[in-house]
Amino acid sequence: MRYSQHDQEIKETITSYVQNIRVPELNLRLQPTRGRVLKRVTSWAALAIVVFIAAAFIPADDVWSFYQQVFVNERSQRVASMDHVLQRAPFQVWAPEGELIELQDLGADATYSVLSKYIWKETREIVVMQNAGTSIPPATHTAFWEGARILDDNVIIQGQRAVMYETPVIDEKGAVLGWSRKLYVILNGTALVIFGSGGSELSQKELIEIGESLRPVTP
Amino acid sequence: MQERLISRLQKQEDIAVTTLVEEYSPALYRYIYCLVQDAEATADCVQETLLKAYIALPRLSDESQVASWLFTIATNVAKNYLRRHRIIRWVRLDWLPIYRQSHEPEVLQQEFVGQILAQLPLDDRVCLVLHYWRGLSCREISMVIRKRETAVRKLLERARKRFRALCEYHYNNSDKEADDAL
Repeated sequence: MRYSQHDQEIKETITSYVQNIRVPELNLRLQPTRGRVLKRVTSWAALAIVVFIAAAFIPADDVWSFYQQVFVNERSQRVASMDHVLQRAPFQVWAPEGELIELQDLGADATYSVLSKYIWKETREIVVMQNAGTSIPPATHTAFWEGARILDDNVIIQGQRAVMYETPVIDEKGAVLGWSRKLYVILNGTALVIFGSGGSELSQKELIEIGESLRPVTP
Repeated sequence: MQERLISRLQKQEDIAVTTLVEEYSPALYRYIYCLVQDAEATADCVQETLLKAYIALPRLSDESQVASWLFTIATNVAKNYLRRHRIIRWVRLDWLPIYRQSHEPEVLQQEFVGQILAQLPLDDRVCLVLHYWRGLSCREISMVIRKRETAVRKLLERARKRFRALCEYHYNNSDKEADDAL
């Protein structure tokens, strides 16, 4: 192969460079090198040690809680117990007296979570919810409370101002079939908002009685 | 001689494989070193190249192309290595000007060229080394890097220009450093 003068210079430079590369004793074997296997083993061992140390020092609940905060919308997380809620609630929380029957949430789009459901005097189902929004329902979640109307917004329960709503039962076409028998208690800051059935289903007196049966708890 | 070696290689005879390793591993080491610029990684890549070649030996059809076939595998292995390790790039301390005074001129020249090659794109390095060191034609290089011959011609031209420009730049700068030192 013939090269021009410039090419010849490049050829000499590169050839000299390549020929002067010192080739070490390669000790080649047709299997993965010890170094590579060692590196892989070391990496996995280091990872295992980190996980082990983390597991030893960080409670599993915290890891789960961190996972929930990062990967799950915290507003819709399920609550394990009322104590758990009380520890986390930044405001005064109301806890009802009654029998705990269920814990659930409304879903990721809700601005509040269902803390618990209680049976009151073995007849009424009370749903206690915590509102994370700044405004009181139904403005925070109109889809859920669509059609709700204020029953009384001038009630004092246990020294606190309370607002009472009633929620309709709506069919698929949007027609109001009646008023819900369920009673929703919304913990909204220090105010107490009660969604309940009105009319003959549940009197205002009963609603107040239910409200009085709730006990405020300061975390 | 080579044809006999090839037929024995295709049967994966141990002695033939050993011959292949002994004959080509230094050249493969030098070639891969030009691409990855790291002795330890080069040794790993050479071994991987030979291992892949050993596995693919029964499929080797053109007996006259052993060398370019090995360099093709080596190029792919080096590319894979660089792709996996592109996040971290180690710079040798003795490349820094402060360490240069302790070296012999030959060593300096060697590292100077290595540094320039390291600054070129990988395909440029492949073209320059295969063309000027191994004496491969553009057509042969095109088979190694699986590009058209015309593309390789352009690549080689571009690589030449870059190599020359980098050489001039570094020579001028090193002269300036020497002047400053004086």
